Amino acid sequence: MLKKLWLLFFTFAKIAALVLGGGLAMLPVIEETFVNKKKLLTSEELLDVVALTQTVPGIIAANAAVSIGMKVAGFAGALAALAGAILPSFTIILIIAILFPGLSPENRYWLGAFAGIRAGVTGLILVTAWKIGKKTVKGIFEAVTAVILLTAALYGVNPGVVIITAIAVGLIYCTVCARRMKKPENQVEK
Amino acid sequence: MTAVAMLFLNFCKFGLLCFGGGYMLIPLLTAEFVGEGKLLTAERFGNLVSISQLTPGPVGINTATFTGYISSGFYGSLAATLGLVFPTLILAGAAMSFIQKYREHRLMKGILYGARLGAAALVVYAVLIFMELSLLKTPWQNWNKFPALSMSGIIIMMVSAVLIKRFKWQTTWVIVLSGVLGAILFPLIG
Repeated sequence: MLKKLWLLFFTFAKIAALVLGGGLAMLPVIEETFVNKKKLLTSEELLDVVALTQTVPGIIAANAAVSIGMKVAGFAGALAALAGAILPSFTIILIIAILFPGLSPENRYWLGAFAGIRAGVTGLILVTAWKIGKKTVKGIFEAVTAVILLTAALYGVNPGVVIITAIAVGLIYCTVCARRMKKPENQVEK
Repeated sequence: MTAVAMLFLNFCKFGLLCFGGGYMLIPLLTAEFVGEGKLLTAERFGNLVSISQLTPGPVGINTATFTGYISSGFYGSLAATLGLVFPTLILAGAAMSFIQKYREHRLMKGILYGARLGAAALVVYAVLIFMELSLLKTPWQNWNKFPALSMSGIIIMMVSAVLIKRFKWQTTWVIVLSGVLGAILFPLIG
């Protein structure tokens, strides 16, 4: 148990210290640690977490830390992961705020390194998106729905609204499917 | 003391109001803290936000820590950061344990089926946003005015994707290498 709490704290601290831009940029590191290496989450459960982080209010990194922590080790896990997600940023920003109250970081190598990290993270998340796409989209219905949802997001629809619409579609689709599956059974009974 | 308590409550409110991640925090903070007779001038707030985006870690946490520090020093930064994530701890924690509890229910299966499709679409959306940030020199406007491409961005993205997919590198090392490449390439070839 203590091992799991430490893993949660350490992984989210690593994410917060390394990953630039926040939000879904941390997805590749989460996938690597919790799905591939430690097998504490399946890739379907990872997608549940993504959906949840976009629907519940609050910043995405904290939502992800709390929901994964909760899944892996209950409320204590949520606290450990959240503390990890906060601590590095808190420390780094505090140091910057104390050292440079004027606030102007103008060094082209420094800026270049940050731009490089952002491009590198783009490559990582591209690979993750490819894997997730292959697992989720299995037929024409899924492909069409996903493309419509993506277009809506690109035209500025709030991510929370995208997820809620997707949930409504899922509920309707599964009710229709369940009915279709039940019909033959009823006929046999007659 | 009251100032610190007010900061905590204010950031609790922001945590409840920001749907779809930390970027939503910026308009909320502007309304509360920026302007004549308030905590920050527009220019200082602009610098604060760009430092929060340039520094590793979730943008929301960075911005909250910074604003809190400027407002009331160390305890201010602590109050703002903890306030921002407090609602998340309750809401995301409760949502996750609810999903866990009813995982096998028929309706929950429909909900998760839809939510996963929506989440997959949003991950692809995130990839496109990251590509805009790291591969284009100026933000996207329309098809007629295609912005100049950043060669360094394209190279680093491809190197990172190949290293993670073909050579199974760890994400940590890919990110470190991307930063080093960025510090060399961006000043040289843009």
